[in-house]
Amino acid sequence: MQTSKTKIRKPLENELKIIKKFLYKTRLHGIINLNAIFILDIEGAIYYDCFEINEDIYKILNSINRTPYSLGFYIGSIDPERGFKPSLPLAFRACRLCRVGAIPCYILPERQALRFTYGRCLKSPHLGGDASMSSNSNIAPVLSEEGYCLGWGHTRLRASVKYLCPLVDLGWYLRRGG
Amino acid sequence: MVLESIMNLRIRASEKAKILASKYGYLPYMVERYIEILGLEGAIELLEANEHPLPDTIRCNDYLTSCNALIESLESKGFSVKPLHLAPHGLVVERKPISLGATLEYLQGYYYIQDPGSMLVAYELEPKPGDTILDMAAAPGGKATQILQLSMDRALLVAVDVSRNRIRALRSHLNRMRFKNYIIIRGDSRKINFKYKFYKILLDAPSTGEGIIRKDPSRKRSRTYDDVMVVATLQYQLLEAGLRYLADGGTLVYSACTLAPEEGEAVIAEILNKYNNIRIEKLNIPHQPGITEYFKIRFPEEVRNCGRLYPHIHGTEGFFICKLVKQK
Repeated sequence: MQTSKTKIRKPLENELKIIKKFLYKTRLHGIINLNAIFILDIEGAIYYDCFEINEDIYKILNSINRTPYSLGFYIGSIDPERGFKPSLPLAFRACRLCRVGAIPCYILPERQALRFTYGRCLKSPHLGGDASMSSNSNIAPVLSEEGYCLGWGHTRLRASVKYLCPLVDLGWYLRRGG
Repeated sequence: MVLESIMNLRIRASEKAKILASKYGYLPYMVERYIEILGLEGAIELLEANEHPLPDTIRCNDYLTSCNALIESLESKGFSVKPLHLAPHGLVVERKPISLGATLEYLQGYYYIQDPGSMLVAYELEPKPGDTILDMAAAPGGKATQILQLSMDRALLVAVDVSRNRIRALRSHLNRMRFKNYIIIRGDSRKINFKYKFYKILLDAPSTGEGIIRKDPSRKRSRTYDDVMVVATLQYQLLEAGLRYLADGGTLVYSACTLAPEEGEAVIAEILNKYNNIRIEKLNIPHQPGITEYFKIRFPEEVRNCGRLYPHIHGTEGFFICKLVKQK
């Protein structure tokens, strides 16, 4: 969204804290340059989109003197009440770490992978990578057995059964992306 | 003034044009124009070619994967895929068990679904690492993503579009294909008044879509000559704005998905008549030369350096491409 009341700014201290908290929980600290994070601030918005911007973008942005609709690497959005919602581009970046076993991630066989991209919850997820690291958070990147990054998932307990539900899944590009 | 003369043209369809228009389902003025540009035989070949739907084509994103790996991956899922000889990253999909927009490879950003002629435009801009490039009508993002792909995400793209819905698609495609060196601005490119001067600009102008009759046969009858002139005026205004944002020595690639000289050569001719510091550079892609005479209206000889893509000659959609350079 872009209106006359839109501006791009550095994150406030509490906003940065929310982002940092998520990155530490998911063991992803270090994959984002915290000094390069900018917030697209839309007056009256209920959430704020966060971007990692390199120096070139920052320079051009200043010289073109226009508020952007979107820019750089989209990290996710901050909802002051619900916290940080990671983006699909961040999932792609995190999945690289999953593939080398550096962080925990959910790995789905082909059929389940397909269901996940339809935004469906799945029974009995398998957590790959170093499972001992998973105790801090149940949010993790989701991959197919073929190694395709599928998005972010989180576990939920329903009638004592553990489900993996999408926080954001690749199917978003078809359902909402346009 | 060229555009004014063209606006006042009253195209009278000949008997031959009327017969062909009736046979192929076109408005007669359109067929008369094709005869004027291509001669009777060429016009019939064009009308015949337009009866065949465009093949399914995709552009592989070699920023993320190699074209061979993509072919292999799609073929393992029952697709039949062959290289498209016209464009280095183009692939023709001859068989598809499911929609091309619903594969995991698509969602991973490994390809963009794009018509063959449209794939050729960005090559003319020659995006290089370190360039700052303006795309003045960027959504939904076919050429915008290609600009970043060709520079391996190391050029900086300023992508502008006016449409709220289409700009969402642009953002989605840029994210899906994992590019991050861009700024998207929503607005009317004619009114933005950038202070920054760009050395490379792409204007893939909104058109009446006369070039994509193979995809949308309803276009054979849906637009009157007045509609064409309204769009031509918008294209001229956009191009004029683009030249304001262009640095001295910079290149602007103008394209439109059309075969109408009103939306192609006439717009360029109007610019050449008004600005004496603009010259037209020859194109490197396969093309037919731009036309220099249209219903007895002469265009500057330089317009010949612009290019046309024809369904019956190149196997693509109809397209007009021109490379303008602003002299120092």
